[in-house]
Amino acid sequence: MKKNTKGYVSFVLHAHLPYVHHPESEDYLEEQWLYEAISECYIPLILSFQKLVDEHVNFRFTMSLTPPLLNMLDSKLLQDRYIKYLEKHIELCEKEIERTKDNDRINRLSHYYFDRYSNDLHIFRDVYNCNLISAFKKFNDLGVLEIIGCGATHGYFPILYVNEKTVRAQIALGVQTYNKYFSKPLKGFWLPECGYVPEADKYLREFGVEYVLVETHGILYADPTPLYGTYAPIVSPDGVVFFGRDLESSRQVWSSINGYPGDFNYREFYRDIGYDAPYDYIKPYVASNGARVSTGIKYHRITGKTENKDIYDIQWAWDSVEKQAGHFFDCRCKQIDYLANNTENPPIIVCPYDAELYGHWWYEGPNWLYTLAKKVYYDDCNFELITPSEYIDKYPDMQISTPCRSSWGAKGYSEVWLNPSNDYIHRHLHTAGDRMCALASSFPNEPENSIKRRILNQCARELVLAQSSDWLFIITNGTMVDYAKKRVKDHIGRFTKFYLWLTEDKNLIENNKLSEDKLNFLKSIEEKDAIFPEIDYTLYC
Amino acid sequence: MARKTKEEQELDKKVPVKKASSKKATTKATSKVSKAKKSDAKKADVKKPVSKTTTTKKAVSKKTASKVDTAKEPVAKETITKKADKKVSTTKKATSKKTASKTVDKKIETKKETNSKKVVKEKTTSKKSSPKAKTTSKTKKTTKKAPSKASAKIIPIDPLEYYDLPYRYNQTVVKVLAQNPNTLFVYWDISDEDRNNFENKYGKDFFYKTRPVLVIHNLTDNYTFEIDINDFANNWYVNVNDTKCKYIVELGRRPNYFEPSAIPVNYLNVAFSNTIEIPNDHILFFKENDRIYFKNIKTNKITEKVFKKENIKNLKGIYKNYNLSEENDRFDFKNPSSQNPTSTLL
Repeated sequence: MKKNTKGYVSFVLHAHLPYVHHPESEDYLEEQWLYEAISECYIPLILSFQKLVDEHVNFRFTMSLTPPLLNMLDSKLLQDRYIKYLEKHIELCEKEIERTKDNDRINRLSHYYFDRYSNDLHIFRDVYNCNLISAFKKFNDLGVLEIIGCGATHGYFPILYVNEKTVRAQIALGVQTYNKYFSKPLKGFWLPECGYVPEADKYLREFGVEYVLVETHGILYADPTPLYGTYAPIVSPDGVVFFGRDLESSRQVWSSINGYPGDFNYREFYRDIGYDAPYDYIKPYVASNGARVSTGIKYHRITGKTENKDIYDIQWAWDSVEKQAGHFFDCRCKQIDYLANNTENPPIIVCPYDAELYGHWWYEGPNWLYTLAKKVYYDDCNFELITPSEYIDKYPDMQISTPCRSSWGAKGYSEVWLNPSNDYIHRHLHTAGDRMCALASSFPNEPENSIKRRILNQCARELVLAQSSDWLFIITNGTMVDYAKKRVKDHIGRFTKFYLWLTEDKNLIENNKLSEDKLNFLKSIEEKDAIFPEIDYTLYC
Repeated sequence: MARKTKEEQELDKKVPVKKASSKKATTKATSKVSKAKKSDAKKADVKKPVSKTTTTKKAVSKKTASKVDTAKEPVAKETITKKADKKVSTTKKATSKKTASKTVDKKIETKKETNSKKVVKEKTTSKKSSPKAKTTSKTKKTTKKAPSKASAKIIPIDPLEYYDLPYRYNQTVVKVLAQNPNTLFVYWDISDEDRNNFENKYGKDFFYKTRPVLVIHNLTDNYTFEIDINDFANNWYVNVNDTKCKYIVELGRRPNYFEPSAIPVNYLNVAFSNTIEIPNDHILFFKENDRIYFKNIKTNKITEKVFKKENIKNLKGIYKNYNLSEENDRFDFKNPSSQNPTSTLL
């Protein structure tokens, strides 16, 4: 629609999950993170984008798909298990339709979930042939969705950069993974946890990154102060462009008092038949050890500050979506009206969120995005949706300034990933990083397919897996702590083991030979920690 | 405590725990929040009596190995009965693995060459060779009892790995990270070699008659201060006043307060850290006539502007959107935006 554009709004959704891949067992609850995210977030987002495309709505979203997530979406094993997950859910829904037949309102929801999971299966297996990456790629190629890269395993730069090579490798692997799955040249890069250190700039440039996103104060506290705050990008002396998160719009979504996801008509996250249904009935559908966990089938709405939850009503929820999309839309119009008088170029409002907010935590989120995109396109307003790279192309003139070292974690710096609960880990990450570099320089060019190369590559995989910011975060956060701690131990342990082989096993070093049991061990680890099949350890040279 | 460790404890221990039970334990453990320290993973991994015996230190590998063997038979039964309500498949797994391991034992005895011998072999050969003989002889007995049909199919054992983080790396190192604009995190270690050097030079009791200190150098404002630490710590959080400055931390030793002349010098350097710049925590703002540079990132053309009084109005117009606090250059971090997928996913 033709309109008088005075500014732009850019949504950036950050889709990330840590690499959870256990071919040895199906009992890891952590694997459900992926399945839940696919059903509640990724498929709904894909469907929303598709609907907008089908309705000829011109829209723009930006989305980061992190390498661990891409590797998992590409894993045959996990794809098969996801289908199993869906089949089990469909079976449960069938039972639910029977169990709830005496309550009309709940029964309607049972039918709804049955349809939804059946549809997921259809979309996943029949439409996209188990390959959701191709769905995202399609929108990327169409130009309505800009996919951006991310650090290899979401390693947190402000901790890793003590050894800059490890940061460089995170960036390099991230860009390589993007290039493996997408054909459009990479423009943007999501800094894991928005953790920024100026030392990373040169490597971002080295691998062709044009822009990254930082937290609000990354821009506000920049040196020198950006004249237009977060409403215009800045460029660092090394040539990386930075967009800062808008405070007002993110608060509207997140405010604990009146944030959108807290609407009383929305689905209540914590009530789930996994906890509510009779135990013997639900047992086959919860954790393998019998513990009650979420199933994703939730019948209640937030209702209010009460334990007495009313039944969820989809129509009411959709009404709230409309209302809130309207509110967001109006607020941006006002904000841009005001800002346009103070900036030289039309202001840009950057709204980064975790993608998993949309659909998983905020069940109605994908629908809200859809409604908003449609509103922006059809309604009379003073702004358009844009991707950061399009904004750069339109307004390439920007202030030179170095952003402030910052993150989007609580309190704005590194406390989430560095505090007394997890600070015992950092020395191991650093030492393993240093050792990886030492290995790479002792074995600078092992021939393709040689056993040493295989071990070195697996060392690199173990190192990057240990570096995931997720483990540190989970330990701080206090849920699933044992799993996170075990993952750190496993990856550091495996790394160290391989390191000792490469430094002490004479037969390996001199004759390039490995005993049979060691070879079997290597094989089993290659299967488990199968991220980055094409990794090249010489990244650390 | 550091000085007691002689070498890197990097050897992992392989624990031939049954797959089914250990897996169960892991999921169980991860599903609840536990604050237990070091031993937590151990607990998580090994819940059944079998595993308990196997985790006992490698020094008693002899005992361990034989225990495993003797414990085998009853435990296998126990699993079957205990898990009667569990899926049949898991029970099957457990039993088949049991039998597989038995067969393997037998093989070691005869051939010493098999794909999946590693569990038994590594366990038994980890210290002495004598346990091996014992194990195999014991195995003989048990294999005799084992049903012959099991030996038909050999399933390779996938031993559950167990690792502890290395206690230390025996390197002299001081590293510093910035936790926030006012806090540095420092960790350190001194290698045995360096410890010996100090002891050789200043006496065996060098580390008793001296105390460790951290010297914090602010390289930007060019000043130094010192804090006392102790030998029981290997890391420290240090408060600093000046943000957006470069720091370097030095680990050193001074004579104890009660014995100031115990060593001939008043201060000894042990090691320097990396240099770190601590983050900024406020808006810097401009002074009049400051120069501001703009760059066209497509053409790389740079233009210069001078910050004039009239720009202040604009700047204030922009920055008043950020709910700045009274000092007018900091803003409130209670932005509940900071989320991570794992916080929204479970």
